[in-house]
Formats: sequence, structure tokens, C-alpha cells
Amino acid sequence: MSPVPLNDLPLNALPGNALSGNALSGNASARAKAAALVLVADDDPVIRKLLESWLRQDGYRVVVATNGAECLSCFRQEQPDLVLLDALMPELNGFDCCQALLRQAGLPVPVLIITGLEDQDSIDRAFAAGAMDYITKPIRWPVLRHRLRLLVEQARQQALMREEHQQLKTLAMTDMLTNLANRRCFDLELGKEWRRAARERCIISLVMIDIDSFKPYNDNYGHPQGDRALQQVAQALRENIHRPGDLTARYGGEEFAIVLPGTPRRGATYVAERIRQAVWRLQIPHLFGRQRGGVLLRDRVTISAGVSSILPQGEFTQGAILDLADRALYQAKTAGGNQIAWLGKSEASGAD
Amino acid sequence: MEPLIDRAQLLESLEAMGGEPAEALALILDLYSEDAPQLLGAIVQGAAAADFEQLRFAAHSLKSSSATLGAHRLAQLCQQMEHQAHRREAHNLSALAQQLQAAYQATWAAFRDPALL
Repeated sequence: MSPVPLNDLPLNALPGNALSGNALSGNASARAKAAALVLVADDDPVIRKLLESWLRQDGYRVVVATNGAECLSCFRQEQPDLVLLDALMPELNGFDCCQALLRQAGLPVPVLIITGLEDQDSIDRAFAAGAMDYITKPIRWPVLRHRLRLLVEQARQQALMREEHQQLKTLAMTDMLTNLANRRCFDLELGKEWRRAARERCIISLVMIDIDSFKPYNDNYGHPQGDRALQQVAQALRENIHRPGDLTARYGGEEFAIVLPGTPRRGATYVAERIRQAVWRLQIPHLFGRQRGGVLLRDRVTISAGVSSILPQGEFTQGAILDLADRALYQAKTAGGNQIAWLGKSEASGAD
Repeated sequence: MEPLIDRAQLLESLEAMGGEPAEALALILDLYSEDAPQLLGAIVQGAAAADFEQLRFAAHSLKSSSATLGAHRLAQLCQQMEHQAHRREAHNLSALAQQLQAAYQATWAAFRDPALL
């Protein structure tokens, strides 16, 4: 099997809440280069036409809606950068429309309300509905030009910052070699899942995985080859962990860890064994591994796994499950490697 | 009294549309003439029936597009009507509606005057 290039590895092993989406190639920067799309909603055909022509001349792309309801469906379909809303439209007025579309947008989209009513009440209503600014009719075009430019720039700046923030968040939680969750992410998630399991009186399992004889592998094949082996093993892990709540992480060096919430001994050892077999089938050549009586035991890269299952209760802390899994891993190693071992506590886990 | 047409405001709006001002005016008057007569009808009818909601909305709409095209006298009368409807004052409604109708006709004639631009 050829090494899997890093960029092709999906981020699917990372927990959804912190790291969802394609955060490493966002679209805010791509969007910042295109002409801004403005959605104009006004029931008055004269003003609609004026706004549309003027906006196009000023380099904007434009979509128009003739009333509030149309504006909402347009907004969903077109995802404009900015919305120009007439305050007084039949059926759904501009204020209510503004509120509704900001609610469905999720992200802050700049809305500018155009009002013929220059009274305090309308202005208050516009801002209360979430509008970023307002202008009055008759429209002063030079003023509108500046306001639009500022609003669009500001919105794009914010979108870029949100995207960068998301990217940094992802990077901070990702192991760059394997694209699995990193140690930091693992620690946070294990803590979270442990507390959840304690709250819900639910069993939790942990699998610690170690590549057998990895030091001689690196020494003999070189670190670049070692990195490729790590990536292949990571991919095997990824292909065998499917449940959304499970977390696969690179724990350090040649060690990996899998958190399996709500999974008892039988399920966890099954997962570990499936992974051991998957790595075996990778057939990554390794002629410098363990020997017995001067004879090479295995001709390929293998893993050992320590599995622990605990029902979190008063006397156990989060460290207990790590400690047990680590001891189980040690047992698997000392018994010859390329195997799994289990240790657990509490009646529900079918303990030792 | 407000001027019938504020040329500066009209030209500013036409300029916003780009192209030849005369062409822009023809296009925008087309749009204006689609809506304005209906709004005017709604005002006259609303005044006769003292339907304040209808009055307020129609007067407001006609005010906006008229003001944008610099038709200040008409816009000003619309605003008066809008405020009166807002305060639900039945007094003098039909007289005001008639004034508005006259102002609309004068405005329309002025818009069609070849010497306007």
C-alpha cells in the first residue's frame, strides 16, 4: 500500500463540536475577492430600479425582491453580503423582515434599512431589529456609497477573522502528521466524556495503541518512512472508528488513543482487535522487529492495544482509566506484542 | 409652497442610474406611471372611506418615489396625508385628497415637459 498523502486525510476523526466543517480551506477569503452581492427589497418599483442601476454601476452584484416574504426566500438562496431593506412594505415590513432574516442567517449579515420616516421611533425600531445602519429617503447617493462600502468591508473583515479563528482552533486540536486529533484535543475530550459518563452513570472505554518495535523501524528505515507508517496506521484507525461520539487521537510518538463513550468491555475489545487486524493487513514491511531465538517473529508493522473500561464512580478519577489502559497495553507488550489486553473496574464492566 | 419639481434632486437620481439623463428619465417615468396612479386611486378611495391604514400606506409609498424624483410638492402633500392618517384625523380628508390629485396631474405634466432637463 502506498503512503497516504497528508492532505488527503479527512478530519473525520475530530469531534464535531470543536472542529466541524472544512476549516482548513474556508471561503471567506475567496469571497473577499468577488464583487459583493447586495439584496435589495423595496416594494416601490422606482426606488428599486434606481437602487439596482446605481448599485450595478458602483460595481456591486444585485438581486431584487419586491416584498418582505420574497426577500426572505431570496436571502436563503443567494446568501448576499449585504441587505438593503425598505422599512415600509406591505405584509412583512422591513423591521420584521430584518429580524427574521438575521435569525435564519446565524452569522451577522449587515442590513441597512431605508426609511422614509425620519422619526426616532423608526430609527429605534431599525436598530432593535438588528440593522447595522439606516438611511432616509430621498436617498443621498454619495452618503449611501460610503455606508455601503464600510458595511461590506467590515462584514468581510469579520468573516475572514471568523475563518482564521476557526482555522487556528482546528490547528490547535490537530496532529499535523496524521490529521487525527492531537494530545491536547484528546485530554480535553476525555475529560468531557469522563464527566458525561459520570453524570449519566454510563460506562466508558479507552483504547491505548502502540506500534510494536517502532524504534528499530525508525532506526532502520529512516524517519520519513516512519512518518509514512504512522500515517498509514492512523488511516487504519480512522477507517475503523465510525461512531460520531468516538474520538481517535495521536497520543504521542507512536502511540494512539481512542475514547469510546458508552462502550463496555466487549465492544471496546472488538474495536481494538479489528484495528489490530487492519494494521496487520496493511503489510507494512518491518524486518527489524522482535525476535525469538534469533528468528524474526513477524515480517511487518503490528500494534499492541491496551483496553480499559470503567463506570465512573466516586473513587475513580479520570486518571484511572488512562492508568488502566496503560497497564493493559504493557501486558500486551510483555506478552509478545501484536495483541490486545483488557483491564477494568466496577461490576458493570465485568471487572477483574 | 414647495417647488413642483426640484431639478437638482431629480438630476441626482437620474445620475445615480447612469447613462443619458433623458433615457434614464423615460425609464424611471415608465416605472413611476405604473404605480403612482394606483396609489393615487388608493388615496382618494381611502380618504372617501376614512380607511386610515390604506391611506397611510398609499400616501407613504407615493411620497417616497415622488421625493426621490424631486417631486417635492406632491411629496409634501403625501406626507401631510400620511401624518393625518397616522393621527386618524378625518377632518378635511377629501379636500386634501383633491389637492393631492391636482398636484399629481401638475407633476406628471411637468415630468413630460421636454424642457424639464
